[in-house]
Amino acid sequence: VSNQAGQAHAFMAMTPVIEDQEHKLRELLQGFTQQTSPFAALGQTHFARWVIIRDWVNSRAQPRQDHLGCPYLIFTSNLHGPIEVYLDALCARAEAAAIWSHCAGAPQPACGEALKAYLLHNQIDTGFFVAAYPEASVEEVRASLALREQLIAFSVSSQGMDTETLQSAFRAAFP
Amino acid sequence: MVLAALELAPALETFKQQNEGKSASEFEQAWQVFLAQVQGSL
Repeated sequence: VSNQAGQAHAFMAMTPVIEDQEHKLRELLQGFTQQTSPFAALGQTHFARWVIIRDWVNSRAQPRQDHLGCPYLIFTSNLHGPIEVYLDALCARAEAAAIWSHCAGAPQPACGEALKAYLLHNQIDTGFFVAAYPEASVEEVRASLALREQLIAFSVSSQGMDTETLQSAFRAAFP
Repeated sequence: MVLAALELAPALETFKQQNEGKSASEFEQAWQVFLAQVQGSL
């Protein structure tokens, strides 16, 4: 069991949704766009999501059936750097307060140190965590993708240039 | 795609260092070789 792979850390918390509030919570989560998602503002996020589950999927082969007593909110994040620092930033956000205010046992208001303690209390260790690029920070990944786009654009725009123009254009594009 | 992209920055730096001071025609040849080498990452 490890919540770490290189610079990447995994965090998962599972919190019970207050009775009759699943619909409101689902609407809230579905309302986020790529731009308005709090993850967009948390620069250390490699990948993260919220999922509401109503019950476990049970197999007939299980010796005992296992069911949840209520819907649960699962929060998972693959992040760069220490989990505590990440949670400090997450728990300071208004969206976090709005989300976890729908969960049983969450502090009211659901923010700051109290929310962080609540999430850590409900943390579930990762059974098997693999980071696709364990040595690269989110910033490095973004910079690499931007460089890739720049190289593609340059290789297209430089087609047909004479050698001297190509050399000077390259120097200007990649100083 | 990300894994491949992560390898571009060091490859580009090496290319720049190796071709500093080269003539325009030498640079153009090296650029074509470089593009062929990294095309899988683009």
